[in-house]
Amino acid sequence: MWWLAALFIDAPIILPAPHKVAAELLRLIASVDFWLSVGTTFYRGITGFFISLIIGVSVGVAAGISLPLHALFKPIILVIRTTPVMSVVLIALLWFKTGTVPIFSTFLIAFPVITQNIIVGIRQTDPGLLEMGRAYGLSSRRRLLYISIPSVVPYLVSGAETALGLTWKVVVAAEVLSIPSFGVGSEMQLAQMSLETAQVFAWTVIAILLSSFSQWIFSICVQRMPWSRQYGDTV
Amino acid sequence: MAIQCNELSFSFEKLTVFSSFSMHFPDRHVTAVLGPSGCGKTTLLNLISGLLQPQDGEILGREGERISYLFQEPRLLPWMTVRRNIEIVLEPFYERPERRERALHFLELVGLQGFEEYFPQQLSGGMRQRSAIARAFAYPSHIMLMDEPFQALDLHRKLTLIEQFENLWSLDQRTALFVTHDIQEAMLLGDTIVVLYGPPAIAQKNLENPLPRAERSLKARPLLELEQELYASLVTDIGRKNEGANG
Repeated sequence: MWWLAALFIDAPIILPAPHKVAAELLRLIASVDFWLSVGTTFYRGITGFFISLIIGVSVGVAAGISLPLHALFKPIILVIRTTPVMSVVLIALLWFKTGTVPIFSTFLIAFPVITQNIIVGIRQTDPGLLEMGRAYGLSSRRRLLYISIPSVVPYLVSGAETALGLTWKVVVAAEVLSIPSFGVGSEMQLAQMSLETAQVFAWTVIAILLSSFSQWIFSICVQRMPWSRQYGDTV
Repeated sequence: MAIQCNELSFSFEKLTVFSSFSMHFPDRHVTAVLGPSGCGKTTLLNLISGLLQPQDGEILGREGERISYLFQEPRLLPWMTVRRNIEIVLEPFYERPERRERALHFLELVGLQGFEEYFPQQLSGGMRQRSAIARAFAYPSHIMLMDEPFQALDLHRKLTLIEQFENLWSLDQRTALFVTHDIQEAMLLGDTIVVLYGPPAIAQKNLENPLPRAERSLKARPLLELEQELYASLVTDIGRKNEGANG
């Protein structure tokens, strides 16, 4: 369909034919700079994601347990979540070096998602199970280990999955605006400025592959974790 | 060890549940507390277990004692097999091989051999409650609190479970407090039956079960007479409440 549409429009600047994009892709893959760009973008995304994960979980647990902390973080999270991605990137540009902008933007967009999920997870912990734990004299460490943490895990997994999806969109968008020396977004922006439409498409394919690859790795990691084992089907 | 409640007072916001409430629960006895919903039965269990603190008064006989608690629902952790569910409450007291052995032993006593490695969701409601009973008995306690643990089950399952409870009880007596609104359950399980009404809770009747545990059945004549008496006192209680509401 893409090929037919390209034929019909017949203007490679607007819609390049698939084989042109594929050829461009092959040409790119062969160069060292390509791998540097992909590697750098991957590094930025993963760094931003893990910082979000660590801070998101910490803040989420704190705000989930303590009501005053929840009252403190709730408006902050709400403001960050409703701020447009582009505003975050532009403000970050004023504060940081170009290479740091994508990492910081990712962090700011992804961490509230994780925090929010952790808070909900902690709130949803069955009070009856916690009461059972106290009645049987389980120490607070055991209650945390056996009751609270397993209750939060499904919320953490879904929060982290959403955050990871956002990560690549934000990293690439931030790179487009900040144009650091290497990066998928930088290359995309340069290609766009020189009207290399086929190349813009090729880099888009790369960004999609990068995102799918990370989601795939993520799902494998989740399956390997002992607590994600299926509890068995309901009778 | 017997449990003695002295002059307990407890209120939720504006609702006074206990006001100078005293009661004695004899050692290695099942005391059945019979009363309508909302009369303060569960609150009494929570006060004795320490999940709630009385605003006034004292509870003697539970210092340093461990307590097993059977809830209305099984309250098993869904992410652990029934064996693991029992093992985690044993952790402070037994080494790993002993924990395992003890969990398996008690699961067998409630007729769940072969289901040890099942997750709670894979079992029926009755089997889950049996796992909870196994956990309560496997836990090395002297006090057992029971909050209508047979309520959610149909009559057949309920009687089977009561029978299983009796079997475990015959091997290991503890000071038990059994709360229910079901007269038949109270008569089958209680050595002493207390009728409670409220709030604020008042112990209205304190009857000894006329039959020893082994002879109790729903068809036994002394229990039929007892049933009449308990029924009458519960009905008068309702009458009294309505009068109070009208006056």
